[in-house]
Amino acid sequence: MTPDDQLSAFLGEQPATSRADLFTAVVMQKIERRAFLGRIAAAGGWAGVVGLVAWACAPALNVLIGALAPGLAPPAAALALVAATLLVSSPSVRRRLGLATA
Amino acid sequence: MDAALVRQARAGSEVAFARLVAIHEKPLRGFLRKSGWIDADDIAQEAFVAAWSDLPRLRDDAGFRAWLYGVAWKKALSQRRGAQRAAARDEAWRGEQDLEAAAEVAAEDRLALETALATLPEDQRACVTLCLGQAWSHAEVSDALGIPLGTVKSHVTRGRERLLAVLGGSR
Repeated sequence: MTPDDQLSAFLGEQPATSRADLFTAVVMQKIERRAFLGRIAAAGGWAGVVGLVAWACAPALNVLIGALAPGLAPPAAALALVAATLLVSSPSVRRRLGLATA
Repeated sequence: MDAALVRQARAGSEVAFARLVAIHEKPLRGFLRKSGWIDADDIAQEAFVAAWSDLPRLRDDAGFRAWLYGVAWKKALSQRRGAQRAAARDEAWRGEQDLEAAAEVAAEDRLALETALATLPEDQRACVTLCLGQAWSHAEVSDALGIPLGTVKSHVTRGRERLLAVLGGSR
């Protein structure tokens, strides 16, 4: 064993306990957390942009809604009635209500 | 082997990246520990997280190891500059970071080498650790640590001389 070999052995020493699984899990967890925070930040940014646009367009939107609402009310009521009828007449709902025959 | 895993990881495979972490974590932690960084595990973890984010910037897939060590080295240096780490550390955590003592080195030699290694400048320590301890080429170390090739060579030569002198003197 030459002094160079001893030096290489000393300098090449690695952690005594192999904790590859734990270490990898911690790293992947940190990566997930970072990605999650990134998504939250992006969603927050987009929500802010949409809010800003809506706020800027509020006068025009008010006029538009005011003009359209009276005309849209009867079709909306009809659609709601049809949806309610379909819902109530569906087999699963009838079964839950105890109205199903078998 | 790294290149294939890097390609898969770059395509979004976390499984492939986890495999890369498992392959490189031990030598990377060993390198950081030998280079004198107490928080070697924390630095290594941060380096892997940064590597995942920056993977698209890696040009040479086969050069992942050198690139990763470079990221870790920069993290270590920036951590020292920031000096934001808590001074108090759990002793048990320190214990877990202990290195496995090589059987080839006697206890008194180890003590002498550790003392001498601590006196080397950090760049020199890193060069010596990678070239002599992990058998990296000078060019690889130069590439990874961002140190000129000539400087790496002189660091290794001088560091080796100093360490060998201590090793001989301890007998």
